[in-house]
Amino acid sequence: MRSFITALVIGAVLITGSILYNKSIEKISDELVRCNNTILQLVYEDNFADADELINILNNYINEKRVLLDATGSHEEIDKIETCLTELKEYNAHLCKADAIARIKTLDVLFTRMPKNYRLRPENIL
Amino acid sequence: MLILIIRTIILYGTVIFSMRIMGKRQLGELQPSELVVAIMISDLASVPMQSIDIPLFSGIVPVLTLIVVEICLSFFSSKSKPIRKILSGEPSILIYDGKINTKELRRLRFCISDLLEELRTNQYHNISDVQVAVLETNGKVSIIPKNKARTVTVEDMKVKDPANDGLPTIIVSEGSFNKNELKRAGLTEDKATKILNDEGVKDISEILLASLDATGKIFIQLND
Repeated sequence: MRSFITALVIGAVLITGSILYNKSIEKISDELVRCNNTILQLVYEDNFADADELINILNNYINEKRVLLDATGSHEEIDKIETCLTELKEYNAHLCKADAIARIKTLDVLFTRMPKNYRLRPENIL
Repeated sequence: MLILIIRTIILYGTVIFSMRIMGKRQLGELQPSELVVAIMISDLASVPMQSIDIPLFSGIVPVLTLIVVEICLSFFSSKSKPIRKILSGEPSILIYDGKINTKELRRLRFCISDLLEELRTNQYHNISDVQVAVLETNGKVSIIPKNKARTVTVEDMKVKDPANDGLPTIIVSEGSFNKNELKRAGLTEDKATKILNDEGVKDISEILLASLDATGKIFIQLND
């Protein structure tokens, strides 16, 4: 009976933890996408100085949420985001608009995909 | 490298915790569902152990989920016969009344040589000595021998007042009293010390092991 109760407690922790984790990932993804879209707008307007500032903010935000992202997300995916962000920073610093936009679009895909795999959908289960 | 060591230790701890929480049955004879869980746990734990690209949680969460499912299923199967039947199956009678049940053997894909091997493993070299053989749900074969082949019991020998061996109590182990065992033997530390002194032991720390059997006989092994 004791192990059954322990199992129920573990089960409750796992389910609650999963729900909270999904919510946090959704929130982080929304924030990253929002920030990324602002950078895109600034780059379109050739406002590279403000874009650089926002890229730094985005970078700091990712570092801040790193533990949560690394906890269950693919480490390879996080590395891809980091690489893309470094490239974006350099393209932006050297005013390479087209390349910077390409990196922003790639980041948009990566940020949007982040919570996608964790959503309770038949395609994810299968 | 250090990361791998830490991850391995964490996963090792998780698997040990899992096996402990699943109980002693998991370490002995496994039921089909328990075997599945044991195989899956070992595989799930080893993948994130080897690759640092895979998050540790992708190993720990499925292992914990398996434990929860396994414990819940064993709890419900202990309460419900149909669930038990689905999860563990039912014992199969391979030999009944000294006659091999060929239909059952075929159904279980069990050949005669497998059956004979199981009988030999159980010390029955002659099939004519077997009254009933049952293939249990854990895969072991239980055998009930014919009267001519079974071992003689105390009852058969009509021994008057056979010695009651019982379970000996380990009153001292590695130089210290075992309080629970003393209680079981109905002794206090003072009484036990007196008994040990009578046996020539001056100090309890000299003792490696001291046990008391059901007849009150004491066994003492001193430290080297």
